[in-house]
Amino acid sequence: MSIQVQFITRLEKYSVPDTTLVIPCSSTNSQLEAILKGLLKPTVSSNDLSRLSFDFLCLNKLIRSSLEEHIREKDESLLESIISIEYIEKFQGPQPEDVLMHDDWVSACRSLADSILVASYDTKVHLWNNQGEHIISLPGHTAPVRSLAFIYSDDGEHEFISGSHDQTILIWKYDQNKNNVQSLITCKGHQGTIETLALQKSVFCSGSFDKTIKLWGLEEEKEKSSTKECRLTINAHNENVSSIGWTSTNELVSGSWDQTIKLWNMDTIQSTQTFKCGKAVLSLDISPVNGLLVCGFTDRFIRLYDTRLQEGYVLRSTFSSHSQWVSSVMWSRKSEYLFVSGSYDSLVKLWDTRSLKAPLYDLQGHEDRVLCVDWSMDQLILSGGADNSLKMFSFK
Amino acid sequence: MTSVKRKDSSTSTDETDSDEEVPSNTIGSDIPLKWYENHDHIGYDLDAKKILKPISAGKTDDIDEFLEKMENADYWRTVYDDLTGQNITLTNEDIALMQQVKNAKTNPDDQVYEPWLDTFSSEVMIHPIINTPESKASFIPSKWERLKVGKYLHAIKMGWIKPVPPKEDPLLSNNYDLWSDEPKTNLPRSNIPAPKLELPGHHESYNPSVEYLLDDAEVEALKTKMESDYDENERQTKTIFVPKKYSSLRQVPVYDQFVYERFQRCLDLYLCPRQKRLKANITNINDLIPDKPKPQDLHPYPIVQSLIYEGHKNMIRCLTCHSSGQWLASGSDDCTVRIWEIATTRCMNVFQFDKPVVSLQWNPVLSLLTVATGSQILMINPKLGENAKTLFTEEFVKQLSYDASNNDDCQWSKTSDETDKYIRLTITHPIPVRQIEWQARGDYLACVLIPRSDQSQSKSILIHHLSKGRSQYPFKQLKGAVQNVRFHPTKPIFIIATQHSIKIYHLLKQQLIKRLYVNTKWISSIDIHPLGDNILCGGYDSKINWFDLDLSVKPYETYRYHKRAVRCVRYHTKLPLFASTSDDGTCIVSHCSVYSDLLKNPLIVPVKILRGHQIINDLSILDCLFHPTQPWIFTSGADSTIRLFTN
Repeated sequence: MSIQVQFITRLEKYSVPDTTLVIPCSSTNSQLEAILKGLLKPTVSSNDLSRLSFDFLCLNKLIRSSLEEHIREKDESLLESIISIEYIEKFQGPQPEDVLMHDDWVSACRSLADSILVASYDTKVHLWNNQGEHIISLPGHTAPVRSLAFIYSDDGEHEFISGSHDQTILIWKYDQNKNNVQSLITCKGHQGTIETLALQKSVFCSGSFDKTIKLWGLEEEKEKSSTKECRLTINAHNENVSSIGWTSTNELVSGSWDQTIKLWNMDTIQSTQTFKCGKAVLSLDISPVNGLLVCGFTDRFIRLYDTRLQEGYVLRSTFSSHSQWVSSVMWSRKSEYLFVSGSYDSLVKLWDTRSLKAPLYDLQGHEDRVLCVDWSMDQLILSGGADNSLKMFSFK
Repeated sequence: MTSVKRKDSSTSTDETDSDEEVPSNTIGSDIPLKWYENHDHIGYDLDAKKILKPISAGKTDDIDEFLEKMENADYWRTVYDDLTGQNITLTNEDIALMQQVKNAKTNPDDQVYEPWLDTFSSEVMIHPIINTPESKASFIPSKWERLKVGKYLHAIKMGWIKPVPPKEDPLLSNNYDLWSDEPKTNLPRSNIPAPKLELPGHHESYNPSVEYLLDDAEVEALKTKMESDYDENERQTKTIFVPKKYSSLRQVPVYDQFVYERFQRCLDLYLCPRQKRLKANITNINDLIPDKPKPQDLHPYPIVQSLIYEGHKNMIRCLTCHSSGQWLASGSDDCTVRIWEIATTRCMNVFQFDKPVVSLQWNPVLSLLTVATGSQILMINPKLGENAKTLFTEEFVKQLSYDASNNDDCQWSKTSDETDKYIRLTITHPIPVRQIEWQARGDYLACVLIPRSDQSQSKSILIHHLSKGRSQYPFKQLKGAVQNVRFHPTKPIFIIATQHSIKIYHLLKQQLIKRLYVNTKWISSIDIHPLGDNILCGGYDSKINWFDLDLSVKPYETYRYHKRAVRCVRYHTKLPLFASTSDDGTCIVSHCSVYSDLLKNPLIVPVKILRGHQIINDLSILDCLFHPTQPWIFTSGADSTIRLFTN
C-alpha cells in the first residue's frame, strides 16, 4: 500500500521542492528521514546532513509509529488523499551538565541570567552561578523554604523572593560583589505555609495552605528590613492553594487541592472561571508564548488546558507517562510546544505537546523524588529533588 | 370259534399270518354295525373285499347259547368281536391283564424304577454328541431379514406400502389437558419419613444356611471395625448382630437386644428432626448479585498507592492527621512520634519517648498533639500550622491550672518553653494507657487504661477536663475489658466498646442509653459516623458490623470481606466512605451513603481493596486514617511504613 505525501517545513535552509511523493504506507521516521535527506542532498552539504536529524509531524502530531497507523488514528479516509508531512529539526536531548549538592532537600529552583537560586529544606536560600559555583547561602527563614521567584539578576545584584513554611515571605536584595544583603523585607500575613509564588512586574502573588492568595506590592522600601502587609487577600479555594501563575497583567490562575483551577480577574477580584479536575492540582504553569496552561496532578497525569476558550472543552490533552505524583511543570520560554515536568518517580521528562503518548526525552539521574523543575533560561533545565541535588541540563 | 393268537410285542407282526386267519375290518369305529345287520358281510378288508359274516354270525339263539355255556369250558372267557364277527377266547395272560387293570394294580413284572438311560450323559465324553459347526448365518445379520426389509423399503419407495403414522394415544386425543399450561410441581412432602427398617433376611433366620454364620475371625474383625470406625458416642447406638443357628424354633432363646432396638427405632422416629431443606431455585445466577451501584460510579475513593512515609524503625500503631490536612503524626513501637509533611513525605520532627507510643490524637481545636505512651499522656505543641493557633495554645497552657487534690490517681504537670521546646503538659497515670480520644470541642479527653487484674474495670476509663485541669473516673462499675471509646460528634454521648458489646451512655443524664449486641467474640475497634447515627464495629473474627442506631440494637449488616482479624475501622469525615484494615494485608474501602430520610437504609458498597503493606509476624496494617478533606487514606503497618493511597 502506498500513500501520497508532500514535505513541508518552516525551516528555510532545509527546504525541498513541492513535489508529491509516493511512499509505502508502513514508513517510519527513519525511512522518512532517509527520503528527506535524499531530497536535501543537492542543496545541503553532506557534512551537515550527517549531523542533522529530523522529526516529522503529521496532522499536528509527531509521528511515533508507522505512517499508516498514525493516520488511521485520526482519520482513515485521509489515507486516500495527499498528506502533508511537516519536518522539524530534531533537537538533541538535554545533556546533563552538572550536579549541585546541598545539605537537604531542594524544594524550589529558579535561574535568571547566569545565576541559579535554590531553596532548600535546610531553611536557607542558596545562590549559585551557572558554572556550578556556590556563591552564598542565605539564612533568614526559620522553616523549610518552599517557593522562589527571581525578580532581577544583573551584574552581581540579585533581587528575589522566597516563601517558606514559617508562613513568611522574604524579599531579598543581595549584592554579590559587596557580599551583603542590602535589604530584607518580611511579608507576614499568611496563616499557613507558603506553597507558591508568582511574579508579575511590580506585584507578586502568594498561594498558601491557608487557602488564600495574597497580593503584595514590590515598592521600594526605605528601611533595610521591614515588614510588609499584603495589599489584597482572596479566599481563593477550599483547600491548599498549591500553585499560581499569571496569564496576563491582570489575570491570575490558581490550582488547588480542592480539585479546581480558578481564573481570577485582578481588577474585579472575582473568579472568572473554574475548572473542576477531580484530582488535586500539584503544580501549574502558563506558557509565555501561547498562553496554554499545563498542570501536574496527583493522578500522575499532566493536563493541558486552553483557558481562553469560553465554551467547549477547555481540556486539550492529557499526557501520561509518570508513575507517581507530578510535582512540578514548566513551559519553555521560547517554544510553544515544549515543556518539562518533574515527578515523584524521580524522572524529569521533556514533552512536546504534539506528541501525546510519550515524552521526547526522559532525564534520568535523580535518585529520589523530584520536587521542582525550572526552565526560565532557555538553554538550562534545572531539577531539584529529595536526594539533595540540583541537576543542570543544557538544552539546545 | 377260532382263537386269536396274542401278538407278542417283541416279535414283528407277520402280516400274512393275520390275513389268513381273520381279515381286519376297515370300516372304522364310527360306523355302527347295525347297518350291516341285513347284509351278509360285515365289512371290508384291506383289499376292499367283503368280509363275509361267519355262519354262526351275530347273535345265536338262546338254545345254542345255553349249550355253549354247558359244554364250552372256556365259555366264560369267550368274547364276541363285533367288528370281525368272531368269538375270541381270552388267554390267561389276557385275563390277568384285565384283572390288573380293573383293580388298578400294576403288573408285578413291571419295573417301576427302570434304569435311567442318559441320552446326554453327565460323563464327559471324548466326542461331542453334535459337532456341527455353526453356520455363518448364526453370527451374521440375517440374510432373509435383510431381503425382507429391502422388499418393504422398495415397496415404501414405490408407494405401494405407506408407512403407518404413529397412532394417537387414544386416551389423550379425546381429552383436553387442563393443566398443560401450569408447571408441574410435585407436592412437597411436609416431612421426610424416617428410613424404613429392613425386613429380616437370611441372617436373622433362626436356622440360617451355614454360609451365613460368622466364624470367630469374622466376629473379631467386626469388633475391631466397630472400635476403629466409630467413636465413643456413635458406638453406643450400634450393636453387632451375630447370626445363630438353632435346629428348631422352640430352641431359640429370647433376643436380648429387642427392647433396645425398639427404643432406638422410637428415638429415630420422633427425635430426629427431618426437615426438607428448602433450596433456592436459581434460574439465573445473575439474579443473586445484589442490585448495587458499580464502583466506577462511586468515585472519588482512594485507588492507588502514591506515597510511602519511611522513617520509623518499628511497627506503627497509631496515626493522626492535622485538621488542615497538611501534617500527619504517627506513633510507633520504636518509642517515637514523627510528624510528616503529607505532600512531600518529609519528616518534619521526631519526638523521642521512653515507651512505645500506643495512641495519638491531635486536639481538634488547639495545636496540641496528644501522645499516649506507657502510663503517661503528653501534650506536645509541634508549632506547625497556623501561627495564631500555636500562640493561642501556648497562652492557654500557660494559664492552665490544676489542683492535685481534684484528680484521683493521676498527676498533671506543666512544662514551659524553657525546659522543653515542645512538650507542654504531662499527665501520669498509675496504670498503662491504651487509647486516648478527644471530644469534638477539644476540651475533654477520654483515656482508656489497662487496669491490673485485681482492680475493677471501672478504673479503666478516665476523663480529663483540660480547661479545668481535672480528671475523674466517670463509671462506678463497668463490666468487660474496654477496648475502645468514642465521643459522639455532636451530642454529649459516650460510646464504649468492650470485648463483647458496645454500650452507649449519655454523659449529662449519666445513664446507659443503649447496648448493642455484637456477635463478635472480641471487638477490636469502633468508629462513629460523622452524622452520629451509625456505628461501625470491627472484630478479631474478621467481621465488620454496621449498626444503625435508629434501626435496632442488632447489626444492620455484617461484612465478612476480610480473611483475618480486622484491626481498625474508620469513617471519612467529609466523604461517604469508610475503611477497614485487617491482618491479611488489605485495607478495604467501601462507599456508604447515609440518607437523612429515615426510611431509606444506608447504601453500602465495597469499592476497593488496597494492598501494599507487607505481612510481618502475622500483622500487617495496624491503623488507618482518612485525610480530613481529600479522598485519600493513610495506613500504618507492621512494616514500619505509612502508605498514602490516593484517587
